[in-house]
Amino acid sequence: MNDRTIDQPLAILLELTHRCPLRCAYCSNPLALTPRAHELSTADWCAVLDQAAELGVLQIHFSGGEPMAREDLPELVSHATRVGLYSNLITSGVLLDDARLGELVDAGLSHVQLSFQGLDEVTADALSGFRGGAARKCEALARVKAAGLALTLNFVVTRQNAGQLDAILRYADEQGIARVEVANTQYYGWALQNRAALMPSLIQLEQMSQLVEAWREKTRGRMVIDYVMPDYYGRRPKACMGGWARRFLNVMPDGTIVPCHAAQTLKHLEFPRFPASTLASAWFESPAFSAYRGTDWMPEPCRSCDAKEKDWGGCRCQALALAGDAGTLDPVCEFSPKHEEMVMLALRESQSGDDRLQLRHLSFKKTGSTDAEAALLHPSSGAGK
Amino acid sequence: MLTLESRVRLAPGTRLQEDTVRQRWVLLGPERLLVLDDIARLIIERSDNQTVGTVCEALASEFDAPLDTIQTDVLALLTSMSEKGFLRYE
Repeated sequence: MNDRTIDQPLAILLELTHRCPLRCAYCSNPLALTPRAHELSTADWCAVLDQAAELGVLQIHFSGGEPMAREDLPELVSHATRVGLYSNLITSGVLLDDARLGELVDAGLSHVQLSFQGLDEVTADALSGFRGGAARKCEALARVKAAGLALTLNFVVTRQNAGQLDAILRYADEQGIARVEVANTQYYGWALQNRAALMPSLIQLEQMSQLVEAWREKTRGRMVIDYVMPDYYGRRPKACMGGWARRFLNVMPDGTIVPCHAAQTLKHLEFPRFPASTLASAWFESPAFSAYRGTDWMPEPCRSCDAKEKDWGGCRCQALALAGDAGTLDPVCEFSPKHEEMVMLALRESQSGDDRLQLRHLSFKKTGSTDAEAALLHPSSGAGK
Repeated sequence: MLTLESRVRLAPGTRLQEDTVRQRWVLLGPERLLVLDDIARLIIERSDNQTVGTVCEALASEFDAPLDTIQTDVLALLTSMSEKGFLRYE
């Protein structure tokens, strides 16, 4: 019987595949990407959708990798529609042509989130390792608009493209986009690997905040701008995923069920896997999901903090990555003994002048190899390294 | 600005849906969710193809409530939903 004190999840992110034509240096996929042969089958994903709906999930995010690299995507969207789920496609847009978009519209797709690395080709190509992506994305945006689908433009901010924020917001407004997400890179997976080259400076951050405010004022009532601050410059942590295993869960390409996309970095936890485990048993019964749920796991001073049910202690993966212990304070919090150190790290890295990016690539083990490193042509440093 | 003459409709990508597991009604939009109480649901359902003013008049007579209070409340509710991106109006 399900534990009545635990709320059912509201949304699930399905990482259908780790395959992707882009090789973004800020990708939050794990360093050890899942090869195609280990991906769940169409029937398995449909069973995931059935269980999600039964469990009380309302929204499904089809993500990856590039979810459009799965040829059965229209079939999965159609299945989601059939069981009453709101479906969101998180895509780079570079594989989107009229025929494939038509199939997705017919399948009942509710919304498309289209990511941009910038409108300037040189920067966008260097960040994504994909030539001509910016133009392809503009074409994809026009197609989605023409099809009458709801669209969110997602701009992932790094030190390289922060200066393009004004241009991106102007473009979005000119295109009549109703929702823009300005998301500073979250430093997990490949992004963590490339942190020194991606971390925006404090000055860039101030300019971004001012621009977002100005554009919010200018576009009130027609464009909603969601702004995600970079964690490292914060004083209080974000409620990561709305709290560990409180609202969301992810299913990885091979069926591993996790509370967030970076959770597999917590090696001491054993995560259940679909179809051996159902979504319900993962959510309600697995020790990994209950490990950091709620407030019982919290150390002091979190336990006696007024904000403990607001930020739920921040991010466990970040606590592990930056403080060496998944059960301690998220160093983003000003009360963490590691906080000063982390802010200094961000400041130092943002001014390091190190612009070398390791673009993501398929590997069966964690890698520190340099064969896929690409020099970035950075405006301030002239020609790249 | 949203006025009594405005006609509102759900924004593209927004839908009204019963959340059967939790026994409530919600508006679902891009990565967002708005839980509706009975009154909010009624207003959304009635707003289809009607001016805000017409909806308010119907509610005032149906619930035997003062029209100006209803108008203030409905305009505030719809404005907030519109600013959050759930509604469009013309």
